[in-house]
Amino acid sequence: MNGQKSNASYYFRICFSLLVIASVMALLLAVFNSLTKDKIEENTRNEINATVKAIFSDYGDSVKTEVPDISPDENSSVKEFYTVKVEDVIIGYVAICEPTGFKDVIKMAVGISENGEVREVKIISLSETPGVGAKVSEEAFLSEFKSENGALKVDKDGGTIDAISGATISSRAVTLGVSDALEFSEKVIGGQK
Amino acid sequence: MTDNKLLTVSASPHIKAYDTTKSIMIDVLISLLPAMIFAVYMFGFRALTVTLITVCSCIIFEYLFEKIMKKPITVFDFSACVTGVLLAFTLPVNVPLWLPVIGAFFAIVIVKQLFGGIGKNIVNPAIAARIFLFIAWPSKLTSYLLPHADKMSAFSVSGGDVSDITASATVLQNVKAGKDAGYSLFDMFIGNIPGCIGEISAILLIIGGLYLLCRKVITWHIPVSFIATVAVITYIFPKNSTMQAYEFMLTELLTGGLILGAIFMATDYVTSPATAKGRLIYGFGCGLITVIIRYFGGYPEGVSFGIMIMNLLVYYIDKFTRPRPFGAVKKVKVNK
Amino acid sequence: MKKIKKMLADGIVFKNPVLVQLLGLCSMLAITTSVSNAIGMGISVTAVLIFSNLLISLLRKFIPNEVRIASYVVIIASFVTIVEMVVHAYVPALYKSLGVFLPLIVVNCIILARAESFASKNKPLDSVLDGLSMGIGYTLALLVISVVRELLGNGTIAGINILGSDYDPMLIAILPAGGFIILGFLIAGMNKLLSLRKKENKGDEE
Repeated sequence: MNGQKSNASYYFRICFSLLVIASVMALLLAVFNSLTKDKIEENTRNEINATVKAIFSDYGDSVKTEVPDISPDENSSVKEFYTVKVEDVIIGYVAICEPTGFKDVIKMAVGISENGEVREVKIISLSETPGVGAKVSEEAFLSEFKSENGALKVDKDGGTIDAISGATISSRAVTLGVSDALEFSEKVIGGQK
Repeated sequence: MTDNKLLTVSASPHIKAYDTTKSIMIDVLISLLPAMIFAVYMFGFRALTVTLITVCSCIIFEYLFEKIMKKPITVFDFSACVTGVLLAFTLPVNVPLWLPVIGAFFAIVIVKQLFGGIGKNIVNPAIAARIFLFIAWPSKLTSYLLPHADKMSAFSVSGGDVSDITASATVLQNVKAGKDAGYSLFDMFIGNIPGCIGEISAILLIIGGLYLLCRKVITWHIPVSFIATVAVITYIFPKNSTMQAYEFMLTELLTGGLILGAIFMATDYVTSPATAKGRLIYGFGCGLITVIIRYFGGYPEGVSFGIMIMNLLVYYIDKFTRPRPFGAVKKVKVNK
Repeated sequence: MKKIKKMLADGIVFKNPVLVQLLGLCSMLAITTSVSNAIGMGISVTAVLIFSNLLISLLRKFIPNEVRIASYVVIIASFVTIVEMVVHAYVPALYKSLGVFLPLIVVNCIILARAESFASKNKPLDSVLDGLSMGIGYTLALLVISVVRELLGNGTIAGINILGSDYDPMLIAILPAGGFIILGFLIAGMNKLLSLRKKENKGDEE
C-alpha cells in the first residue's frame, strides 16, 4: 500500500518538475523572441534592400522592391523574387537563389534588367572548398553571366559558361541559379504584360 | 698464436644475407634512374633540381629530428633519400621550389618520425606528403607542362605562373571530362605526355620494376594485383565513349602514376602486408579504390588515395591472413 | 580569492576544455578557420555556460535525479536559442558566419559536462565562476588555433592581411585535415607544458 502511494508521488514529482522547467524556459524563450523578432526582420529587409541597391546602384536610393503575384516553383532554386521599381516604373528584378553547390547551398542574388537580361550576379554566402569551388564568387567567373538570357549551362554540359577548372559542381550550381532566375523572371515579365 | 682469429666464434646468427636496408634502398634508387634521366630529357634540368631539393630536405629533416630528439642517426640507410625521390616524382616539374621542402618536412617528420621512425610508420610517407601538398596547394599540383615545351630554368624558385608556360591538361583530366585522350597509346607507353616528374614513362618504370623483381627487392603480388584489378574493372566498365574498351583500359593503366604507385610506393615493406595472400588482397583493394575515385570522385587521379587508404587497413589484412604456426592444429568444434 | 584564482587556472590551463579535456572538438574544428568566428563562438559558448550553470545550480535540489539529463538539455537548448536570437538580431554578420554551429552549441559536450560534473553539485556563484573560467579557457584555445589556421591558410588574422599578397596560402590549414593536424600539435604542446610544470613542482618539493 505504501509502495503504491510512493510510486504515484514519485511519477508525479518527476512530471511536475519537468513541467516547471519546460514552462520556465518556454517563458524565457517567448520573452526573448518578442524582444528580438522585429529587429531580425528589419535586418533581413535591410540586407535585401542593400543587395538591390548595390545591383541597381545607378538609381541611387529611390529603388523600391515589391513582391510579384506569382511565386517560384518549389523545386526552383529561386527562393525570393522582387520587382524593382523607381517611382512606379519597373527597372528590373532581383532573384535570391539558393542552388546546392558542392558542400552546401550557395546563396546568391541575380539582378535582372527590365527586358530579362542578367544585369549582375552576386554571391551572398557560400561554403565551398576554398581555392577551388569558392572561386565562383570571383568577378572573373560572375562577369560571364552579364547580359545573358535564356537557359544557361556550363561548357561541360554543352553550354556557353566557362566553368572554373576543378570546380565543376560549384560552377554548375551558380549557373543553375542564374538560369532559374531568368526563367522565373520571364514568367513575371509575361504576367505583367 | 696467429691462428686465434680462426678460432673465434661470434654470436649467432651465422648465416649472413647481403640485404641491409641500405642495399635495398640503393637498389630502388638504381631502378628509378631511367625515369629520372627521362624526366630531365622531357622537362629540362629543373626536374633534377626539384628532385635534389626534395632529397636533401628529407635527409636534413631526418638528421635534425634525430639529433634534436636524441635518437640514433639513421640517415645513412638511404630511406629518407628514397622517400625524397619518390615524393619528387609525384610532383609536376613547375612547382615552386619551397613546396617540396614543406612536403619533405611532412613526410619525414610528421608521417615517419613522429610515428616511431623507420619500420613504424603507418602510411607511406611519400604518398601521404603528396596528398598533403595536393590538398594544401591544389592549383600548384594540377598544372603540368607540355612535353618538349620550353624548358623551365633549372633554378627558377617560383615555378612561374602556369599561364606563362605552355600548360595543358593531363590525359586523365581529358578522359574524365569525356574527351579524347589527346595522345596516342604509344606516347603514353614511352612517356611523351604531360604529367609529374616520375610518372610519365610507363616503359622505363616497368624496366625499373623488373630490376627490383630480379634483385628480389619486391615480389610480384602487389603490382600485379593492383594493376590487374584496375585493368579488369576499366575493361569491363569503360567510362569514356570516345574510345574502345581496350583503349580506355590501357589509357587508365599507362597514365596517372598508376605504374609508379603500384611498383614503387604500394610495395613499401613497412606499409604493406607481410604474406603473399595479404599482398594480393592489398593490391586488389588499392586498385578498386583507385578506379572508384577515378570514376566517381572529384579528382581524375585516385592512386595516391587508394594506396593510403589501404595502408590504413594493412593491420587488419595481416591479422586475417596470419599464417598458421608450424605444427599448430586447427581447433575442432565439439557439438554438444 | 584563492578559490577564484584556482578556478580560473583550471579553466584556462589545467582543465582546458579543448586542449586537455578534449571536449567540443567538432564545432571547434569547423569554427576556427577565422579568428573573428572563433571569438564570436567563444563568447556565445561562455554566455550559454554561465547562464545554464547558474540556472542548473539554482535548481539542483529541485531536479529529480532520474530526469536530470533531460532537464539539463532543455535548459541548455533554451539558452542556446536565446543567444542565437540575440546574435541574429544584433550581430547578424556573426550569425551568418557561425551558421549551423550556433545552434549546435546545444550538443557541445563542454556545457553538458560542466552541468553534470559541477553545476549540479555546487553553489550558484561557484557555478557561474566555473562557467566563466571554462568559457574563457575555451575561447582562448579557439583563439590560438584560429590564429594559426587563418594565418597559414589565408595569410590574414581577423581579416587583416599579415603575410602580404605574395603569400600562397596553405589551403589545408583551413580544411578539416589541417585543423586536426594543427590541433594535434597544440595538444602536444599543452601536454609538454603541463609535464614541465609537474617536473618543476616535483623539483620544488625535494
